[in-house]
Amino acid sequence: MNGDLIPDRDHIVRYVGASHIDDGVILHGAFRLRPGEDGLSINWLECFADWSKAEQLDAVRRLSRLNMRPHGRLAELNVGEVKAQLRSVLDTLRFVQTPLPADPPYAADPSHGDIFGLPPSDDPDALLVGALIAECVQTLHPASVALPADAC
Amino acid sequence: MTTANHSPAATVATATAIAAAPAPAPAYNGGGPPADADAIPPAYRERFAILRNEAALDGVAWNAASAADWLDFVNANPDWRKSLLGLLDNGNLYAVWKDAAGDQLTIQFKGMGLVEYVIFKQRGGAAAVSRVAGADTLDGLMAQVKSFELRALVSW
Repeated sequence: MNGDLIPDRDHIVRYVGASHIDDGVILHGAFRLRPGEDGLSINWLECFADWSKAEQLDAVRRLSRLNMRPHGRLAELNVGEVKAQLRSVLDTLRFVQTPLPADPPYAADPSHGDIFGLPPSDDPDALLVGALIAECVQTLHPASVALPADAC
Repeated sequence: MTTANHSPAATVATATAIAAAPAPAPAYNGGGPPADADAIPPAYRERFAILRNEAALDGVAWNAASAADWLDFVNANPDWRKSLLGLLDNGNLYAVWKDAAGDQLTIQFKGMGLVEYVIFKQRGGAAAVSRVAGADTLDGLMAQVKSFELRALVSW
C-alpha cells in the first residue's frame, strides 16, 4: 500500500546502467540521488507474493517504465541488510512502497518503491553512502531478457 | 559520519588560484571527440568509449572539465593501478579503487582541479574502519592518500 514501509526481511532491486557497472562491479553512483530527486527508485520483489524469483524479476522488467538496456543490471539487495550497514552513519533511511498507477501506455506497477533519507546529490556524503549500499548488493540479474510471448 | 570538507573560503581561494594559473597546452578536448585518441591510456579506452555512449543515450551533459582533470590525473600518476571508472548524472567521471581488505578510494573529478573523495580504510580489524568523505583540490587529495596510507591500494 502506498506509503507503507517495505519489511526488513524482503528484497528490492534497482536498475543500474552501464555507467555504474565496471568489470562486473556495481559502483557507488548507482545509489546516489540525481539533482532534484528525493527518493531512489526501486522495485519490491516480494510485492509479487508466492511467485518464484524469476517470475518476480520478469514482472519488474515488464512493468518498469525505464529503458532497461542489455548492459544494465537489476541489483538485488535485502532491505534489513542495507539498513544495518548504514545504521552507524545514517539513521534516516526508509524503504517505502510508492506504487505507480496505470498511465497508458504503462500498466500499473504495484512493486515500485523509493529509498528516502539519502544525502542530496551535491553532498560529499552521497558517494560515501552509495559505496556502503553498493557493498550490500547480493546478486546482479540481467535487466533485459527475451520474454516468452505469453508471459503475464 | 566523518567528513573532512575544506572550508568554502579555502576552496574558493584554491579554485581562483587554479583559474588564474596559465592554462597548460590542451592534450585532450573532453567535451567532444578526442582530438588525439592516443591521449587516453589504452587500458581505459574501451571503458571511456562505453561511458561516452551511455552519456549520449541517457542525455547526460558530459563535463569536459571533469574528463580533462581525470585524464591529467591518470597521465600524471602512471604508477597507479587502473581504477574502475563511472559516470555520474552530473556528467562527472569518478574513479574507484577497492581491495579485498575493504580499503577503498573514490575520486569524483569535478573539473577546475577540484574533487570529491571517499576513503574507506581498515584500521587493524573489520570493526575499525575509517570512513571519510570530503571535497578538496587534487593536491589536497594526494595529501589525504598519503595520510591514509593508501599507496598500496592504488599502486602497482
